[in-house]
Formats: sequence, C-alpha cells, structure tokens
Amino acid sequence: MIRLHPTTHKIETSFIVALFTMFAATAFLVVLIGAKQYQQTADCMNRNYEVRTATSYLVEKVRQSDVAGSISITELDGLPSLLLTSVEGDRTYFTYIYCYDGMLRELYVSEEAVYSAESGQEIIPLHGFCPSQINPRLIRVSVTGTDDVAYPVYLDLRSAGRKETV
Amino acid sequence: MKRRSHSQSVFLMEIVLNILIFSILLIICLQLVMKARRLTEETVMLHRAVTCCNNAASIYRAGDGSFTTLLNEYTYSVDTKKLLIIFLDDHFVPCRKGQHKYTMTIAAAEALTDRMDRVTISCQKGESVIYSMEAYRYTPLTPGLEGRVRS
Repeated sequence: MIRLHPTTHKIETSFIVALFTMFAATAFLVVLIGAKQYQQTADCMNRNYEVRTATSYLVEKVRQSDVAGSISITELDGLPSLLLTSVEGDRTYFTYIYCYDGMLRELYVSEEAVYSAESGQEIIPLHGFCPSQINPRLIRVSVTGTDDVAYPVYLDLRSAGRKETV
Repeated sequence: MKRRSHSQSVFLMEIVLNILIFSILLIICLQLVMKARRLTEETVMLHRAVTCCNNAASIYRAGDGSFTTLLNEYTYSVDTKKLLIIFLDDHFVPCRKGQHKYTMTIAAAEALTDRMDRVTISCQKGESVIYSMEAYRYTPLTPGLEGRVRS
C-alpha cells in the first residue's frame, strides 16, 4: 500500500502532463494551419487582384481610346506594347502600355519627346504582356500573372468599322 | 495526501474542460477558415468565368455573326450548328476535351432585328452555371455614295 500511492500519483501526474502537452501541441498546430490557410487565401486573392486589375485596366484604356486608327501594336525598346494615339489640339500624344522589369507600365508622351521603356509609370506586377492583332477589329493580349499563367484578353475595336454601304 | 489528490483532480477537470472548449472553438475556427477559402476560390472562379465570357463576346462582336472567328480562336471547341462548346482547364485556358474542368457554351439566340444578332454565353462547372451573359453584335449602316442611309 505504501508503495502503491506514489506510483498512482506518478501516473496521474504523467497523464495530466501528457494531456497538457497534447493540448499545447494541438493549439500550436491549429495556429500553424490557420496561418498557412490565411497565407494561401491572401496569395490567391493577390494573384486574382493583379490579373483582374491588369485586364480591367487594359479593357478600359482601349474602350477610352477606341477611335478609328488610334490603337495599334508596336515595340518600345524591343518590348511588345500597345500604342494608343490621341490628338489634342494640334499635338499628337502616344500612350504606350507594356511590361518592363516585372511591372505593367504606362508611358504617356508627346510625339517630339525623347523617352525609354523605364520612364513608364508602374501600374501592377506582371510577368508578361504580349499583344497581337488577330484581325483589324480584334486584338489579343496575353497577360502573364505573377503565378506564371498566361491569361488571354480579347479586345474588340468598335471603331475599326465593319463597312456595309447602302 | 487527500488534499493533494483533490487538487490534482480539480486540475485534471480544468484541463479536460479547457480541451473541450478548445475543441469547440477549433471546429468553429476551421469552419470559418474553410468558408473563407471556399469564398476566395469561388470569387477567383467567378472572375475568370466573367473574363472568359467577355473574351468570347469580344471575339463574337469582332466576327461576321457566325462562329467562324470563335472557332479560329478556340481550336479545340466543338461546333454543333446552334451551339459551340469550348473546353477550359483549371486556369480557364482553352484545352482539349477530356483535359477540361470547365466548359463554356455559346448558343445562337433569336436575332432581335435583322441587323442585331445575339448569342448567349455561359460558363459551367459540370452542370452548374458559374456565369451567363448575352452578347449582341450590331452591323451598323454607313452612308453610301449617295450620302443617304436607308432606314
């Protein structure tokens, strides 16, 4: 009897300690899982935000500048870019949209100005931007997000008339 | 000895109660985390479906009213006269049938006028529709040599 008591206490204490350790370990695990899930959700939302912003921006810029002959595809310092031309008064201005140094950029300049690709204003992080003309009324822009997936965006030019004479 | 044993059993009860409360909170937390994740995935899916449908609408508007331009752009699509089925992978990028996770259907609808064509574009995951929209294609009249537009 005298021997039994300390053994029982030892087991009880061990059980409590084991239970507490398990509790602490589970709590720690839950925090880790929660943090990882939160990080994944935030990353997913960020990637979606980047692609969505880039595509919406492109669509809006093209809609805004949809005047006959004002939208074309060109190169700026060897980078494929979308060129939007606007005439204000007697001066002509160019808006280049392109991807440089991991960022989608916009460069608004007058035709006499001297400029380079790095002068453009940063819009949003992107890994690729490749516009191509499918037909006179349709432009395809391949936008590569930070997840390295290329998302196609099609832009129809309403100003490039579908001529039907009566 | 008795007092010590009583104190230990109280401590044990405290831990058991703590674990119980913790388990309940854990279940609630995990449910919330899962819900947040599901909502994010649904948002991403909806956004990509909207972009895909808008792309198809743009291609349709830039074409001649038939599915020809769409067929040129979506090479692996299936054309059944009134319906065009496009297969999309998990990133909503066009792919072959069998490798797809989503589908986009473009159905020719009844024209509103003789110059206004219409199609219904919808993006589905299995049987459930993620997003659906109507696209219109208007053929404008331009003045002829006489400078008059016939109504």
